[in-house]
Amino acid sequence: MDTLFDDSLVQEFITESREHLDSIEPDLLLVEEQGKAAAGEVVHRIFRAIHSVKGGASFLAYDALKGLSHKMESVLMLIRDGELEISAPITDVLLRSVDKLRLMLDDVTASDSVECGEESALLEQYMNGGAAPAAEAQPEAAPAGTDDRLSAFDWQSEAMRSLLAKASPVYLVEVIPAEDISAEERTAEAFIQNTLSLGTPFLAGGEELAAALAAGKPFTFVFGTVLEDDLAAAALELPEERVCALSAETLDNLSKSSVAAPVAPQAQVPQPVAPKAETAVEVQEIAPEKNVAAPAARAARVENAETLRVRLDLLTRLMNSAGELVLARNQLFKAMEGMNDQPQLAALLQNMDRVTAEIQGSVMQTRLQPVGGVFGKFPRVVRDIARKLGKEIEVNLSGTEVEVDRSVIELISDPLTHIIRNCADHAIETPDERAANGKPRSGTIEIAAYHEGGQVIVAVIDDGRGIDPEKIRKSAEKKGVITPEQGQRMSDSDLVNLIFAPGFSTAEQITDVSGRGVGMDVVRTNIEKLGGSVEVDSRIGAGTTVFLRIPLTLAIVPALLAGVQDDQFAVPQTSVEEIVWVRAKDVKSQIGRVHDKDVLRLRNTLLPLVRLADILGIERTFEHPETHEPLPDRRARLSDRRGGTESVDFERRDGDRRTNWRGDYRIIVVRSGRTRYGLVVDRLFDSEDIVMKPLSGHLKNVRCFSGATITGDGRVITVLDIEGVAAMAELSQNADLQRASEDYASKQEQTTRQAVVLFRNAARETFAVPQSALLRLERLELDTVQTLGSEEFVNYRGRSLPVVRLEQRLPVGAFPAHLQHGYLLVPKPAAGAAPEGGVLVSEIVDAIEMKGECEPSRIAGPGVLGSTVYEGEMVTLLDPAALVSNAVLN
Amino acid sequence: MKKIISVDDSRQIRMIVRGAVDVLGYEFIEAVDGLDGLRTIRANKDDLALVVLDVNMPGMLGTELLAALKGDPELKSIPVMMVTTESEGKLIIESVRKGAANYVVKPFDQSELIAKMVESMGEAA
Repeated sequence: MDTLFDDSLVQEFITESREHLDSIEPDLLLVEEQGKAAAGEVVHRIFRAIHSVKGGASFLAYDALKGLSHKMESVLMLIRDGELEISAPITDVLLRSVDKLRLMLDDVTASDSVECGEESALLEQYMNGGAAPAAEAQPEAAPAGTDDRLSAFDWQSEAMRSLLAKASPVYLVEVIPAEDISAEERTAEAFIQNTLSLGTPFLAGGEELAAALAAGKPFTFVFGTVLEDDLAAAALELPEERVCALSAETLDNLSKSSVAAPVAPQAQVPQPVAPKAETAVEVQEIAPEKNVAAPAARAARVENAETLRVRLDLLTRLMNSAGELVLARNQLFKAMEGMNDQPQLAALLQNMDRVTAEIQGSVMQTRLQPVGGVFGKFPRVVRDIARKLGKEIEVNLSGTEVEVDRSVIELISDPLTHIIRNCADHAIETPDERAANGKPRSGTIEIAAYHEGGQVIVAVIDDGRGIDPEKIRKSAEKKGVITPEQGQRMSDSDLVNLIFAPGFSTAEQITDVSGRGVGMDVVRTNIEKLGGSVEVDSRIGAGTTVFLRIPLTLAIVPALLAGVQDDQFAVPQTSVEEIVWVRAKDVKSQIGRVHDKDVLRLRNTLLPLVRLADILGIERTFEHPETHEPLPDRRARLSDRRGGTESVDFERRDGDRRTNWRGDYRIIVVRSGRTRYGLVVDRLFDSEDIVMKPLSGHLKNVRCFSGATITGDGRVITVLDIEGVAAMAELSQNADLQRASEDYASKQEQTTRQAVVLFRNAARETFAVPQSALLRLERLELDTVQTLGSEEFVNYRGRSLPVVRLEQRLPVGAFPAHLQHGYLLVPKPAAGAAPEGGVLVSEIVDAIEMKGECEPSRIAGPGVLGSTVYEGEMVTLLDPAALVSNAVLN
Repeated sequence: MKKIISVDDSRQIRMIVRGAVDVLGYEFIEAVDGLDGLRTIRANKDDLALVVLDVNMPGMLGTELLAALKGDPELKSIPVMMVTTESEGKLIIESVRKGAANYVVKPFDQSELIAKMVESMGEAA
């Protein structure tokens, strides 16, 4: 039979059957979990799915497939009919049978050779173990008096003959107008119309339906329609027992019966029960369900039908073309730049821009698939492991509707499976162990997907035992993954993330479920290959979360374009954390050196810097800000400092302030996985959507590029591989830098830097007050200062505020006499109190951040906190509140 | 040669119908959805012996296409056979009400399909 069909039909069957099998698995688990509560509808769904597989298999004559699916169907039917209660062993057999069916589908021509005897035998056992097969098909008692009523018709009339000539089913319909018409609130007319629209009624004696109804008495008619069995009753809106099918045999006999006997003798009327029995067997085989029984299934079907299968290569081609279109648009835009004399052109371009964006978006969407497709198989994976290990594990899925590119889906499936296997195998404890620790006996694994910053995060969250960083450290040291010194310095979080290091496995026992020592590093490699990253976060006893950060798509990515000398490069936007522009005057304070490497001080961390020019062997240049011509940059180091320093030191040296624009640095802070560094470039351009093209073969092995693209102006540029650049700069091996960075960070935490206001009173004497101690800082015209005796006051917000001159309180230089104005520092009073006074000073120098530590000051007096050196000048740090409070006390 | 059209979004079903049409010795044409179906049926209205119509398709439902065909004086005489599944009883009844000549329930084998097709065409003849 299959010779009738070409391969594509078989392919179609395989694809559809696989989808059915995929849908069966979660449903089976659901039934097992919810028991009878869920059973009805879900079992229906499973049943239908397996029924479709059977249908296809029998049509294409794949006997083994058909046989096994038929047996599954039979068992499911018993479950559906409540004759067999679903239990874990039954689910096991059904799941195993699903696996076998999958195996058969893998090589469908050899499907008959797949061994499934065991499953079949078990299924048969359940089939026989269930209550007596419904197939006994108790013939329903036919409506009483059918025989008599049949004989009332003129089976030999022409109308009846033509009715019977058609192979369609024929029914004997009984109508009781009082019950079926009036009580149902429908008019006789509606009933007649409905009946006529469905088929041909034939009344005894050739009577009209209308007349029979008008009489109001019960009557019967022979009804020819294409509708089968219960559908006929449903369509006529009559109770099923009133509509009785006449078998072909009956009809045959009736039409052949003697012409002379319009009133047929009893003996000649065959039992109308016969057809019923025949259909009953059919019922068992195909089990037509009540039409109202499965609204949800109907909905699901409609949903499925809203799709159209498209060949993947066609989509890929479409995707490429859309990509080219985007490039063409970008080129057009670049070409049209500056041509402002054609206003109508701008509108056209805008329209083209919009349409292109729409096409790009839609094409991208065609390739998007919900991650639920991958997630769907995990409940099964976890269940099998849990059963094998005697654990109780619940799986929660969320965000299954989140969509990512098909190719991404394919690539994350294996790594994710590995993580989840690990989770079920190692992370979740046995029920007893959990109970002993005061946790619920059943563990939970949550698999969640959500969007974050243009990427999709897939989180695998368990409430298991967590990862012990100490154990990891010991194990990693033993295996030589890290040195003991490194181990001591690493944070818990870094230790835990060592599980992704090559050749690392924490499993004390190797099980057949997972943990063969390869795996987690492969997980990381695979995820990073597609531009994503993996991170793990764990708390001992509370559980572990593994985060997979994956890109939405691999083909069109937003990228930041950066330039070094004449060359442009693209940095994938997902890798860009921020852009830092270090002004020349800040170079000294923000860029330092650690063990011969340049670092950027970025908030509380030290960020290693990589000069792209050095990596690529391009002459270092900087761009003249006015002429835009590139000039050679001869500074050996970014910090432009002679001699290496052993520790981090950011203090400025006196007299070496570069305010020259040549010193500006543009730094792209990039991150890929756990690698984070600053990329120093000459120029920054726009962010643009680029279409990633693979590099040609002879460039494949260049680590620092991950691909190439064509920019808006038609240039071919390469896309930087952030990890590759880091590797070439030997960043990852630089443990010294990492240590310095950690030291720096911890030092930063200890020595709190504080914001201070630098000011002077007499020239050349610099003081500082913490900004946090000041309420206000305002300019003060000296002629507004009023005197009362030796005290001075100003009008401050409607009241008199005592003014203290610095030289009155401290042995310092006096306020310059020639000045007509000064500044009033109003210290923050105690909570709720009014300011006690203000300090008059002559000049505000700057607001800066400086170290909180200071040495004892050489001067003594109220409010003197100490002294420190800032930019070569001695600065005396004061507490302004102490100055004024003393003033008031005096 | 008289034609039989299969209007179905499932390629598998279209292929199966094609097999039956070949056996019956008709010319096979096809459409993948309701609108496509209506266009193709109009274009071939004088040669069509039968429309084999999926009752449930994305976009325009089979029953909607059926109603359109039966409401068009030029097309209403072409017999229509619905392709259905057992769960679609309501749609089956609706189709018959709207004038479908017959219907076939998935899954079906070729002999069943051919028999139903002959039946459906016979009804109009």
